[in-house]
Amino acid sequence: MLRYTLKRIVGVIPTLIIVVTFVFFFVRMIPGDPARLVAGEQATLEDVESVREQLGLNQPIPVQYVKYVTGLVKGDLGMSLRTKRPVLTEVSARYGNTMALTVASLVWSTIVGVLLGVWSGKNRGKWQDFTGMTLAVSGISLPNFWIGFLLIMLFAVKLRWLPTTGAGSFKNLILPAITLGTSIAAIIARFTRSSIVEVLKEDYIRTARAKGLKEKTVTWGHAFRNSMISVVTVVGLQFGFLLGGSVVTEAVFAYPGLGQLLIESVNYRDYPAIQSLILIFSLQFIIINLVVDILYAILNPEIKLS
Amino acid sequence: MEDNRKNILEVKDLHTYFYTDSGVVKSVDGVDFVLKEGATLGIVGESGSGKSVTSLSIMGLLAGTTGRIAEGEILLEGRDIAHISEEEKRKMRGSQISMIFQEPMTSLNPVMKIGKQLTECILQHQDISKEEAYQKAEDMLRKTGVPRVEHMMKEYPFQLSGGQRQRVMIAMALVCRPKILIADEPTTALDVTIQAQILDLMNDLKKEIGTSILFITHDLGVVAEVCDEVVVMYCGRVVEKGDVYSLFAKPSHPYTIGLLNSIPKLGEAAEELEVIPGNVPNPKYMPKGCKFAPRCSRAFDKCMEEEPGFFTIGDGHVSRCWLCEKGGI
Amino acid sequence: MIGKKKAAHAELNEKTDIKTPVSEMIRKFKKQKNAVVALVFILFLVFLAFFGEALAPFKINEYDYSSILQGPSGAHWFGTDEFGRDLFSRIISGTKISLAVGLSAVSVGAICGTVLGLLGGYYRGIIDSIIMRICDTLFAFPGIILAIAIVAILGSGIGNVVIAVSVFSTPTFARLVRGRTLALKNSVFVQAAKNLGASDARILFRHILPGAIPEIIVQFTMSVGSSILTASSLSFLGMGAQPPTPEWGLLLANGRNYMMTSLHCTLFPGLAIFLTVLSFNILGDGLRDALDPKLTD
Repeated sequence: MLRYTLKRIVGVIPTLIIVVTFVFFFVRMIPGDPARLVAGEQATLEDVESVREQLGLNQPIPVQYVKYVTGLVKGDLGMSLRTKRPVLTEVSARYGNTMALTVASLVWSTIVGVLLGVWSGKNRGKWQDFTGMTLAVSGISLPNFWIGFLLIMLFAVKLRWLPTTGAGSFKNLILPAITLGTSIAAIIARFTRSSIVEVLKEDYIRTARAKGLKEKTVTWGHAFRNSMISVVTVVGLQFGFLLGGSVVTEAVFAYPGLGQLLIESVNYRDYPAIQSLILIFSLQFIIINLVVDILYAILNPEIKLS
Repeated sequence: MEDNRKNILEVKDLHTYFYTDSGVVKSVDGVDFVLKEGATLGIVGESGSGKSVTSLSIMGLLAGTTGRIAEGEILLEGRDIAHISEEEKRKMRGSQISMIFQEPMTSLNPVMKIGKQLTECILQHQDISKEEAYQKAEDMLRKTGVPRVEHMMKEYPFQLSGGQRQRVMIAMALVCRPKILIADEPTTALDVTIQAQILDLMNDLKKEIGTSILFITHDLGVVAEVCDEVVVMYCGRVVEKGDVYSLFAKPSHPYTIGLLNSIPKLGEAAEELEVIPGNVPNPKYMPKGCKFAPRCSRAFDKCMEEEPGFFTIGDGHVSRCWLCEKGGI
Repeated sequence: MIGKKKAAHAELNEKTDIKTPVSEMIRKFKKQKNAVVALVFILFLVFLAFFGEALAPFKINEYDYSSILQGPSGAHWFGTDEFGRDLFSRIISGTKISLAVGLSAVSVGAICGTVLGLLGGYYRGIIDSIIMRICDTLFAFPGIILAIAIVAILGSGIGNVVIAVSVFSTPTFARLVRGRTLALKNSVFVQAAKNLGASDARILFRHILPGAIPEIIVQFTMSVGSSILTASSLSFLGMGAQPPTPEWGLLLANGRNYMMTSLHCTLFPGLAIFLTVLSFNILGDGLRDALDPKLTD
């Protein structure tokens, strides 16, 4: 188990290096002169040069790269051009909001997705299956900005139950979390269903029934327990997806999270911030994948004990 | 030979049909037999003969398939268990009748410890504490002769060999001391040496616990070792049945004879083994007369036209073959 | 074990009865009523893509200040926007944008991914390692973030959205095709072709690729749906199509300003996206089921 974990961690390192390098070159791939772009059309030559110096773009590329990487190791993500504050400060101010939204979405969508998936899978080919899978395929097809608006119209404008925008309280979280979680719930439901359908064909399910176990025990204790191993993988991957997917939802609800920060930064061409945010999103994704791999091993005795 | 043992299980005119999109498949089409208390009854036939469906019908495990008992009765100690509610069937499974399967490698839940798989069966049927159940499970597992029982209770199936897994399956089936154990090809997937050990184990435990066994197999050699009575099935029907001595001494159906000739015997060269030509017919295109006639080397006109009934060969020994009409094959 | 063997056997028997995997796929596909309906709807969308603008009752950029933000009516089926433009006309004219973006982006992704997957799976070694590393790296970015990153580099615009979506759909196809290639590479018929002296190119495109085609088709269909969704999301965020293009995501973004009074401005564009994506997803599901040998019952 320890060896497996170490192997996974070591395996991630090359991807990490490539991602960091990619993000570094990202700023240098902008067509035209990035310093000119940042300084603006009307900027004088001196202004442009000062921006160039500010971005460190006057130094040779290898020097810039080393500086960038050492900065990263020290937790220095550079200065935001828009707010003139360290990017790290900007990010940490909003990180909690995005995390809260993501976790809330993941929790409800996992519960609903698993229940719907098991319900459909157990009743394969019957009306329950048809209903569940129609809901699920609709869920993955809904544009989440659209759901967001419809929810705002219904619950915030017509019924006045919940606030339309903002963050900080539980009430603020409900509508964005529903919006963000819908497609995830649908994906989890589809995956759980097909996994349950496969597992129910296994010999050990027949054994469980032959033991006289209640159907509930057969479903959850035996079938789902086996499906869970692969469902966890999907849930984990969706968690990574959610962190990125929150961009659109945050825009709809003017929710002050990382996604909103990314949009603002893109609109302002705040390259140090864009670069850092993209790095953060992909680092999260990589770390989550790693955690999922390890979790998979913990749930699977065959890997755990070898 | 007078037999005073009571009938523990009676299967009367059982018909189990599968209702598929492309028509009705009559997997079991009129099967009768009796299992005596403490006896071992062998059901023999090729795959597709309906022997496994018969066992699933007895277990009440047809729910969730397209199969249904269309006709007939299954009496457990005189009580019909074919037409009771699913919940009653569930309560009966594992406590009154239990079953072990052909594939020990896949019949145990891979992500659940052996101890848990054994105890959950006890806890489902008996109102005792977890500790007591665990103790019972451990005792039962010890009876199956596996080594380091305490350790094995905490292991997962993948850590066990095939023979050990089948012992676990047997322990699991017998842990609630059921009246009947249905063993569906329990040794087919195992090595020959392990096969003999498992058969011995089943015989020993049968005596100790007092369970009757319904032994389902395609192998008449195994039947000779463990069974008291034999039912030979073909195409969902019983073609011959009788006690094991009579049937082996005087096999009276060409199909039984074919099966017997395909068992390797000591001292004979392997190439002399006979095989029954052809395959079990597709249930959708059943022959009109005797179902075995198309594969039978001794079939005559009547066999093609009319399906034979049972002809008595000896005490309790019957055969469904026109050749027996005039007293002998 | 035994069960699997039986299934494999059944599959084998079945394969001898049929002519090609594709004809078998079509036969099974016809049984999936939902998917057939979805296909018909997609064909209707394709029709609208070609003739929608010509058939539209109003000119899409015709301002009419006398009828601003009107609700649905006999004249304006989906109502009008803040300039009095007919929303119905704009939406059916927008069909071609969404379909073109989805289809072209995924086609590019599928072709690049297929070639990379074939090369990696067939030649293994260093080429394979490099290709798979690139895929891993691309997979390390959530799709929409990667798309935003690319648009941030290239600038806003529908063309750049197409590039962004092609880039992030490439690795999916590469992995899929690589997997099939690895499986088919050692198959008897490929080995036989090799022994007969067939060139690598011939083996790859005549023997291995056809084996991967059904899965590519399924993935393609599913990807078109999600790409249309991503593209409209980018337009919604202001990074894709620019006004006055009647792109659905943009229409929706525009409609949000009048959401309180004129719900139809957000309702109908969203519905158009939803139904289009839904029909591609249902079609994809139907194709996948038609392809799945396990679903013979």
